[in-house]
Amino acid sequence: MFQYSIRRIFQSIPILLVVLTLVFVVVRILPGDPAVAFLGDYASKESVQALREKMGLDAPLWLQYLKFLKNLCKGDLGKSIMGYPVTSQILNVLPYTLELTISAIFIGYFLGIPLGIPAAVRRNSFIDYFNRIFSLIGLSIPAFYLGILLMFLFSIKLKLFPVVGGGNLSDLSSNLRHLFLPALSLGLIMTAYITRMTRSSLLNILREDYVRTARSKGITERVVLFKHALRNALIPIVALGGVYAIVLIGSSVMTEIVFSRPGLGSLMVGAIKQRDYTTLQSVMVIYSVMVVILNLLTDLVYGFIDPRIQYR
Amino acid sequence: MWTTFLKNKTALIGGIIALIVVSVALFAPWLSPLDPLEQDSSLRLTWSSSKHWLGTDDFGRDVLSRIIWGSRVSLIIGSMSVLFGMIFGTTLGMIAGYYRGKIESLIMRTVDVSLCFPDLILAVAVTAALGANLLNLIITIGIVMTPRFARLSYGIVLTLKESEYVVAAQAIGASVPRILLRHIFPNIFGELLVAGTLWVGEAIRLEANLAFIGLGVQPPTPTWGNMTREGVDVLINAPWISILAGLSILIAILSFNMLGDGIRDITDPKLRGA
Repeated sequence: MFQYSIRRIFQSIPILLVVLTLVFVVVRILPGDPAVAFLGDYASKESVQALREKMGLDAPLWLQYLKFLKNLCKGDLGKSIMGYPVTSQILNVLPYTLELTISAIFIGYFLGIPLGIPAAVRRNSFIDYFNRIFSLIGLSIPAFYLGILLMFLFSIKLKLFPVVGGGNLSDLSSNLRHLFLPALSLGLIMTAYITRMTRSSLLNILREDYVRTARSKGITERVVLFKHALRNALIPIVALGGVYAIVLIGSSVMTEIVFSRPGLGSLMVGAIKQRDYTTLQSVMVIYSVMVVILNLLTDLVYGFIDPRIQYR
Repeated sequence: MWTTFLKNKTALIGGIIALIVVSVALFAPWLSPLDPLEQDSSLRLTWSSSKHWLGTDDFGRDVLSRIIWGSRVSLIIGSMSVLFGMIFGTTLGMIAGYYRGKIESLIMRTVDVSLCFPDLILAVAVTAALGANLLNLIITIGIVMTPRFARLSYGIVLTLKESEYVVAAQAIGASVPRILLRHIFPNIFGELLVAGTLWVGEAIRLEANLAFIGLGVQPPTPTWGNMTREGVDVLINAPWISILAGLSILIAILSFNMLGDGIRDITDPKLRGA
């Protein structure tokens, strides 16, 4: 396991480098000059040139790239168009994005596994059909639309939760009240993925020989299901959590915008509208680092619960 | 094949709804009761009436007509971007799978890296770079779809390459393009079509997401995404705008997902009901 982990960690370094290079290139091909965006369209040529020099934009591309990597290693993400350090801007909103995605993943597993089990055990029953329709809708619904529906019902009609905002991080009750609906809307989408996965994984396992053997030994159905089948069925469900989390990170952008929550998504969209390329680049860097780490964790967890993976 | 299709409820219902959605988009000029851009300031944010069945929006425009016209943008971008991804992705995947070696490493590692980005974040960055209009959105979402088709076709080509008819074609001296196009491609087309149907739904969702952020086809052209966005600002007084426009997106995506799921079940009996 140790060797496998070390090998896998080293493998993610080149991937991270390629991803970071991709971010650097994408941001460089964006139209418009960041210096002009900073100073406004009516700035004089001289001041634009001076700022370009100050921002290091007149340097050759490879030098800019090396500087980008060097600053990244130091944790310095540069300054936004408004002159604020991007690192602290990101650190301010990151907890909001993390609490949203983590609680959505939690809701997904908490509801998804118990919903998926009866669907697999009683195939083609009412609960199975209900589950299939639920997961089909959950996999199809855009995150922003589910957010709007929940907001309309619970915030506007029933007035149970605040309509917009992220709440105060230091005040637990305000924070939870603001978090509930966004987390539920993302969590329900996650639930659809987990339910579907649990159902199909358990269905496959229930057809295995060892399940038939266990049954023929006269073991109660309960023990067969929870001890023999479910344990093995959980391997792909748990391991794929990372992959689903990446899908969720994408959807969280939309949820943050619908609920006007502070977060990486809102920061990214704001940066595009203001043509603030430093912030855009930094948010994309953070997203890519999150994705690479999640992929790494997925593989490590997979290797841990299914040792066969380590030898492939 | 047809009888199996008709027996599969998921595919049948999905297919019928998808057909209705496509027909609405095709016949929008004849189905739409009013001009989707015509404003009537005396009738702002009014709910259903004999003239405006689904009410009006903030500019007094007819919501039903805008939803009908909005289907065009979603479907054009959804289908064309998937076609774009299918053409480029399949070409790359087939080349990587057939040639192996350095070309394979280069193509497939790039594919792996781009697949590890969340779709929306990749699409946001590319749209910001290209600018938001119909053609650019097709290209943007097409770029997001390309690696998926590349990975899919690569996997199939790897197994097909060893099959007897490909070896036979090689033995009689058929050229590589001929082997890829005449012998391998017809055998992967079925799977590409199933995946393509499912991914049309994904592409429609991606377009709606971009439009909701403000990076879609720009107003006043009606799209379901920008209608939902405009409706959020008046959600308290006129909830129908967002709810109905969003519902149209959901129905369209759902129909393609059901159709794709159903066809996959039909073509691959091993997956039936799984």
